[in-house]
Amino acid sequence: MKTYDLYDRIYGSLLTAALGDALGGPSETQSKTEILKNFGGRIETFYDGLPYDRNALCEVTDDTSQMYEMGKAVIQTDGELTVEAAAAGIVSWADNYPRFYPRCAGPTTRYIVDALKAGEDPVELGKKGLQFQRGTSNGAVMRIAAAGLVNPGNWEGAVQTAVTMTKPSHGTQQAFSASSAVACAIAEAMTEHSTIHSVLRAAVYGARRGEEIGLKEGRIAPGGRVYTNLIEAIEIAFRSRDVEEVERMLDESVGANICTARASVPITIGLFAANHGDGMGTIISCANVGGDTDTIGCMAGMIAGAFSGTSGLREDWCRQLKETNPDFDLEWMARELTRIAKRRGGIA
Amino acid sequence: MKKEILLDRILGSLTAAGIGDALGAPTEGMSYAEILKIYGGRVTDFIDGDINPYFHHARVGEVTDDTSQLYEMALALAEAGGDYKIEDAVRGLLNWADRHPRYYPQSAGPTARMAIEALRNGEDPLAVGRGGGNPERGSSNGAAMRIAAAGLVHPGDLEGAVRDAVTMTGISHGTQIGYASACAVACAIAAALVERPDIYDILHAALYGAKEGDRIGRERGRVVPGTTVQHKLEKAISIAYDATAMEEAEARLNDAVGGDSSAAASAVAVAIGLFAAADGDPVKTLVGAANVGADTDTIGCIAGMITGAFCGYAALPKHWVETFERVNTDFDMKKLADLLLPLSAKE
Repeated sequence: MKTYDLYDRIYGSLLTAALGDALGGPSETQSKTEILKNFGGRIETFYDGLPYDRNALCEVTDDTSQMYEMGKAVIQTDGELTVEAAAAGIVSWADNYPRFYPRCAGPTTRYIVDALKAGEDPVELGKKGLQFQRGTSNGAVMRIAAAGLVNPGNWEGAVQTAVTMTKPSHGTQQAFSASSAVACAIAEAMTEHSTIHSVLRAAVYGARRGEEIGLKEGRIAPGGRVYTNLIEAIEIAFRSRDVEEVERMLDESVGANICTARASVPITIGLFAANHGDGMGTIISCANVGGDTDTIGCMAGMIAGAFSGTSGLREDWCRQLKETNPDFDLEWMARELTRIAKRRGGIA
Repeated sequence: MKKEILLDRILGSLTAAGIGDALGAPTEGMSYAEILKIYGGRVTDFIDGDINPYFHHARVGEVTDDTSQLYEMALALAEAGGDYKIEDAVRGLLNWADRHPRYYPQSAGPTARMAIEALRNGEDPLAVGRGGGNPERGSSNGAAMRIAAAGLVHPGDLEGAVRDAVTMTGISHGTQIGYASACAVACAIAAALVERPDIYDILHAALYGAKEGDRIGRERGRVVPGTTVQHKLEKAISIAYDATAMEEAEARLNDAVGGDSSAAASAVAVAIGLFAAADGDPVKTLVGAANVGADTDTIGCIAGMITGAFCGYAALPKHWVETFERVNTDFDMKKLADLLLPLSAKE
């Protein structure tokens, strides 16, 4: 058996997230049926985005770039993230990536960058609402990786960092719940003795705790609970005969048609479980499930990579990713996050 | 897996099954509300259950028909040396009836009693197993509560576990529910006997066994009325992930899938649900079984087989093991584990 290597898990998390983002980019917004038609079958390799989106072959999107900037914010604060640092991370993302901002900004992020620059209070901004999907969309979760990665095995720590990271834009019970669920799943998956069961338990814990905090401190947004959908996604992972049936049932029940975290995060967790945490299998499922495929691929990649590390990832894909996306030094980021994770986790 | 570790897990399964049986015996047939009233609180250790007619005159820490039948069925399977047949299963069941007057006939369940008399008369075992004439016959707990060995000799091999579970079950519980309940538990045990078991895989294995057993039962058994094991198990798994604490899990498992009799679909689903809700922890699992209500000794015995195979003998609380071994000298689990090991290690 391979010996445990924390760096490999952290690098695996970031790398698999980026691969999942790039793989799922071209099929974003399409249904499973449309994907089969438009790509002549299941997506199992990189496509250039044309004509479906404007990305190059193997290029990442707003997801990985935001995850990267938020990772930098966590590193700059040495793991003690503040709401201000998280807000600065969002602004820095908008400034640094003209290719992605404003083109790719989601239904929440597009409203807040200018307001943050104008000096508005980030916590109040996150709770503003008054627009459909504002504060309940996927933005908070697609960038969450570092919140889990600096809290190995510490579910409550992951919740706290995730909530802090989420406040400046997505100050709702739904976003707190969704981002905490993924952060907890990552924090658990990266431990030496993690199992699919323990990762599911961590996700459920995070969904419950995040919601609890959101109901007290956040804006109470309309819409069903992340938690309910998450339990349903877990049920589906047990009820289905194979991975493709899980994909279909998740779309049919939880629904991949909307860019809201209460749908995307349960689908993410369900596909991770159905693929038994395997990085390649998980991101391929995500690219084919339909809906917000790049974001789902990015989030599921964070968890699967933390669970399986870099082993099993196709080397040619990793090389291609690096060449196409030179802005993102994931190895540097993994080294820095490993140092912080070891210190916070009391690991020698 | 190293032999010492495999032996520890096999012995863990057998011992935890016995402990779960003995812990749950004083509360058998009661609801949680009655348990609290009669015993003045949750049952968390071996207690005097003389007040319970099912456990009348028993010693504190003594097992029941469950562990004693499990023991004889396993012994006959071990003696068969890897080629387990219907005759071996019959021999095991009749040995139990002959050797343990303390438990037979008084503790025999609604199916075993009828089956044993017919088997003694030399009737065709599979015809006996399919026999009806009584509402509960063939769908009660007898098949699952004694199934341990079918899983223990097939580490990681679900098909092998199903094969031996079917053989062990057909002689008395030849119904789709009897087969499904036995195969679900045998598969869960087999999936627990890997180097790094994952509860997620164990639950999937139980569902696989439930579906396979149901299919086999519908082909060759008597089809009885009743909810499928798979259906109850899926509900139980959902509750296990949804519940925030053990007491909540116990109450909800009882409310959603529990029974008021010794119906196998309920007991198996409750047992596996408790195991999952407890994250495999043997103390939480077995205390949960003793307090969940209904057929608590059988639920404890089944849950014990799985949690013990998952965590091993060394992980069981010493005071429980010590009492169990001192009180139940008729059942030498160490000897039984040694006999099963060569068959198990061959896989």
